[in-house]
Amino acid sequence: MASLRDFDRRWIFLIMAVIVVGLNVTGGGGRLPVSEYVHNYYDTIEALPEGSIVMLSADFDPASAAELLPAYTATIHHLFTKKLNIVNVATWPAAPPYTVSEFGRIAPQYGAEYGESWVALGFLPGDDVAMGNIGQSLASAYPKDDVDETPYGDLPLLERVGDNMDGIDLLITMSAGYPGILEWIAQVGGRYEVPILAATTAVQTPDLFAFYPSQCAGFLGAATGATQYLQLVDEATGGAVEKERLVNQKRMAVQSGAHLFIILLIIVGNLIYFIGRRGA
Amino acid sequence: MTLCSTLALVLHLALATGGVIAPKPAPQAADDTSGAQAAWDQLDAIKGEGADGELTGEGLSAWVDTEKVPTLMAIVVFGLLMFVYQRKAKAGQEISIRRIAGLDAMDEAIGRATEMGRPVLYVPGIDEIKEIQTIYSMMILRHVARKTAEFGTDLIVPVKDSIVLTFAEEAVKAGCMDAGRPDAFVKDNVRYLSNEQFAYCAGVAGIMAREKPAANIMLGMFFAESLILAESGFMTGAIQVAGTAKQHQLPFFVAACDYTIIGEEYFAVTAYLTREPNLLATIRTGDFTKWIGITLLIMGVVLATKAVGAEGITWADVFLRLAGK
Amino acid sequence: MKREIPILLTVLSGLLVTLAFFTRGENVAAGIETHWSKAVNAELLQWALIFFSVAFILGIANLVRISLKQIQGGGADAFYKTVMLIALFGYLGVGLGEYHGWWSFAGEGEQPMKLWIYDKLFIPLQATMFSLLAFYIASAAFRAFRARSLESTLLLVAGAIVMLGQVPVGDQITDGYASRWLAFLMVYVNGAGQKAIIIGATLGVLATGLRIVLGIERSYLSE
Repeated sequence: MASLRDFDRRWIFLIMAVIVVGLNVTGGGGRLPVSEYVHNYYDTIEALPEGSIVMLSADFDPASAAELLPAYTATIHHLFTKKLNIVNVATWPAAPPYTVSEFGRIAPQYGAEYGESWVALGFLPGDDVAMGNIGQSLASAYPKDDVDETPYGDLPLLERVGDNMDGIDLLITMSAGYPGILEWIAQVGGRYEVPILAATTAVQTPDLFAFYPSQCAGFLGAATGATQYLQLVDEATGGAVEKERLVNQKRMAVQSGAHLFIILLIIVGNLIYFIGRRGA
Repeated sequence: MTLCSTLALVLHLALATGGVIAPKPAPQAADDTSGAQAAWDQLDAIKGEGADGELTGEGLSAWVDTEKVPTLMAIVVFGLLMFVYQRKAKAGQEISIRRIAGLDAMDEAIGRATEMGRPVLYVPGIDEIKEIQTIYSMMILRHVARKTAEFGTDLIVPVKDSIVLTFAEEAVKAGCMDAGRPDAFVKDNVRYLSNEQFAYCAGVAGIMAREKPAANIMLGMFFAESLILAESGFMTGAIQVAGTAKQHQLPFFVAACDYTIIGEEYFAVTAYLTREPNLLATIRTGDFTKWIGITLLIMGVVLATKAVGAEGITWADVFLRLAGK
Repeated sequence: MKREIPILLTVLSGLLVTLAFFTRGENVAAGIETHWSKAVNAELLQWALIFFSVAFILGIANLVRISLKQIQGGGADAFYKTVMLIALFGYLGVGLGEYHGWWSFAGEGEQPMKLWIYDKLFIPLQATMFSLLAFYIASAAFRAFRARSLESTLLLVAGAIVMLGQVPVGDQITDGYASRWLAFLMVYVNGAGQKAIIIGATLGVLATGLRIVLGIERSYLSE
């Protein structure tokens, strides 16, 4: 029993790796039922009239991209399909390259012109202080854009936004941690009465239930929420995010295997514990 | 900023959960001369608002954001309570504080490291100094530094933020001075590793693997790196004490560390360790405020339950009902 | 004075920022101008951003000083410290050079070198560190999650339900119940617990914040 209890944990790591890699190669995933929070996220965007302006904040980095990038991609498709305008900001330094690559790829599909339909303002240092700055005066926080340093007032979309959050109809954050959704709620949502939506990492999702739906109207919780949302957007856009949907559905199969393995480990660990205790 | 936001959050959670928050009533007809309407009108005049809520540019609203007045009142009440309890504590009234196992374990961990002749590793979280948890972590660091200086044990403090670096150096230096051992301060043991979360995490895991500290104390604001740090520490056989008020990282620490300081226990650390009356008084103030919050919650739940089905329920109606009118 | 001046600055800026929170911004329709405290607050925020940026230099200085000492000492870490310093100054050089047009490592139409390093090195390294969690959570589950008491048993059962409810296979095994139990646990049990912990911890934050802003708490400053 002692040998079972103290065996080299690298065997666990190896089995986990085999499950994850194996299911990635062989697994396929089916359609997931869509939860209420994901429906609310989707419906809030659907309810915006054409031409509304959405602030999309990329608050993630490569480490959390597996969970949040699919939601980011699907959200951009959804917003452009609805002919909504997007002001991009970022409070994580590693996020802007994703904005560059995703918008560079998606915006041309919808004929969305830079400056008219979307702008990229880039990374602003200072975490929640930066969010406070954005809320108080977007023009002071970002005197120039992030693409070719065009002055704030020279971009037609930003001219429509004006200086502060009054010109923003909805705030969406791709939130990987700090700063993220909780700081947006404290710094902007509560002060300027802007509705907020969020896509979050798994570890942050339980926090949001304390703020849903009054301070966060809807959210995509981790890869599960992103997959459900991809299903909705894929239907609405006629297959624009089919590739991402299929990849994420497969990821859910991989996650199923990993979760079952962890549950099995808990059961085995407890059996060893109880048998050992009885023996003692 | 944090101060106001956090209090607003507490109030909002308490009131919203209890269902107490309700919209202001629609303006009544001109011939409505009820007492409630007169009270509303008077309140509007003080606030500097018209009947339909538009600002008139006069009265309080010319410069005060009247929607935040309840928050201001709550801060003032909290401050007054704190003042009263501080006076009482200084006058000799005993304020007891329950045993917190995680805190008692800190001294044990430092003692064990001393016996083994290995260093103590103190990780102050990964947030910046403006985060209250980081400031608090610096206060605890000073205590830990005093203990390690007394025992003659090395203390390694890796930090993720440059400003925290200067605070950590100061805290360790002050701790060594408190112990009467200024020579125990080793500047190179307070180390800036990286501003990047996982690079910092890898750096700390590297220190754990190579320098094999016998005790890992992790107190502050943690995110996704918490489990990686705790498991890396476990693999080196160190005794581990962790604490954070960040609720979504608590389960990882509970699972992987020997002792955990949970949620608000974290903010009781300096009071617990020093037993200073001023600090104990703030713990008592927090407890009393919690009772106020619980009372508000229960009131809100009861009243909201009673009001189910009724239309146009307002704050005024709620309190009139409470008064039996 | 070395102690009094920082305390005075803390108290002053704390009170100013608090005042700015309660004062009103511009409202043209009502003829209300932005309160002066808001302008001071905005200025302080700008200062804070500058401080955060400049403080990087302090960190880099500390990092370089300690690393150079270890490289000179020739210990086990010397190789890693050398790689780290090359990466630090190498990336800084690439970024600065490409930004100012001093040099370029990329051909016509190719991705700039700084983005190439980001895509090909930084992203995989970060993702690797994050994915370690999958292994560590498995190892922690095996060694630490024990049904030692009623509370820990409840924690275990709740954890298992959450894990099952989050993935499609959970509903397949339990005939659709896993996601319903998950929703119940998350909305009611977790929601209530979260609010309680947030309220408790926030009161702790509030008390500490008030102590610092009012200058009662000074132990974070050295003598």
